[in-house]
Amino acid sequence: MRLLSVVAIVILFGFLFVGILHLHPVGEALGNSEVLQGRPELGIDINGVSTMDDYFLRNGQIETKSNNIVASVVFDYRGFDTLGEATVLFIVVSSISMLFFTFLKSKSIVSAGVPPAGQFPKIESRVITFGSFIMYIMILSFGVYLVVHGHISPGGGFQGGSVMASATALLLISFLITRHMQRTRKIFSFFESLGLTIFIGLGFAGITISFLYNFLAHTSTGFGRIIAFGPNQGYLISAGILPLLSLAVGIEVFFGLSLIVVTLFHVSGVKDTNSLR
Amino acid sequence: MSAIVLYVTFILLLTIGIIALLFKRNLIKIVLAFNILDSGINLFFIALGYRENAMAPIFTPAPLDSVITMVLPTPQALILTNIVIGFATTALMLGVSVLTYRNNNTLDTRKLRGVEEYD
Repeated sequence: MRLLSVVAIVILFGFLFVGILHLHPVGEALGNSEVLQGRPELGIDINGVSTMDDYFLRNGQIETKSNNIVASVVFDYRGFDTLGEATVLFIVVSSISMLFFTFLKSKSIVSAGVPPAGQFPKIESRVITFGSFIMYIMILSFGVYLVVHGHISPGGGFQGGSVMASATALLLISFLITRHMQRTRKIFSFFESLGLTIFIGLGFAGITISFLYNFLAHTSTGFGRIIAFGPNQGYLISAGILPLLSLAVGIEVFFGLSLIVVTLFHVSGVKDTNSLR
Repeated sequence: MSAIVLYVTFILLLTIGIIALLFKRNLIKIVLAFNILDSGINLFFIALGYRENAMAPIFTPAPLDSVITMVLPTPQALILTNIVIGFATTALMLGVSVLTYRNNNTLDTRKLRGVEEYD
């Protein structure tokens, strides 16, 4: 049996190695590499564009009013795919909450190192508690910056939400929110559902054309502000519904990942193992 | 040779992940094998869309030249999706592992299956 597995792995390795010899070399991706070459001033022109990616690079800025082409692919051209991804994250958080349902409902939780209510935690010094509170504010600000500027600079809802969720882990190791576990879970699950609801609601707002249609990008004022093609400084109020979708995804990812972290932290600290069965 | 070294790295990561999936008995190590597979696939996609001397597909910090070379945006968007999905599935698998250990006092897959004597 073991010999058969080894043979199968060797065959797989050989097939993959033969396969990569027929790919293009690294660094020479297909299509026309020059984005702005031979391009008229404005207007949609797909002449000479041979691949999907070159179409996105040449027309993404005009069609979605977004400087960040990756964001326009994630939230506009493939917006339905992103909805599926946000749903997968929601389902995973729901599954983890469901797995530890009996544990989280029990009132007599003795987490390791957590003092009773009203007492200051003795296991950590005030330096750690106060320092992590300051770092919490700074990390949260950076995450909000990443979410809000997702359409004009590197970042977006998923990255910013993950950064903010790491701040929650910092609060957990300094025992700042461990005493209010039930309340924390309720608040986090409410806001996580709110993020996904905002995303779906924005998708239904443009339902007269199609689901997740970027209706704000065609108004030429406000969020649909016309930006110059090519390099420009970028505007915070632009790109249609992209910043709003990014904000919704940021809320959902932040509170979802925080809920996972809080749940697993409390499960790892429990002393009474019978309540888990 | 340097043109395909990233592809060879991808194949090595994939093979290591599959070997660990087949031969490791510890559930935590199987979760780590899934992570290694994920990393290999991410590397493969990014290497497919890479262009020599190109910049990220973002126009804000781009230089004011008439010719700008950019890498492909779609593989990056797909990998953005895959990273979050990989994180979520890893969290779910670790949660199931915690419950498995609490209920059976072991993480060995052969013991969990009820096989006492195996080769």
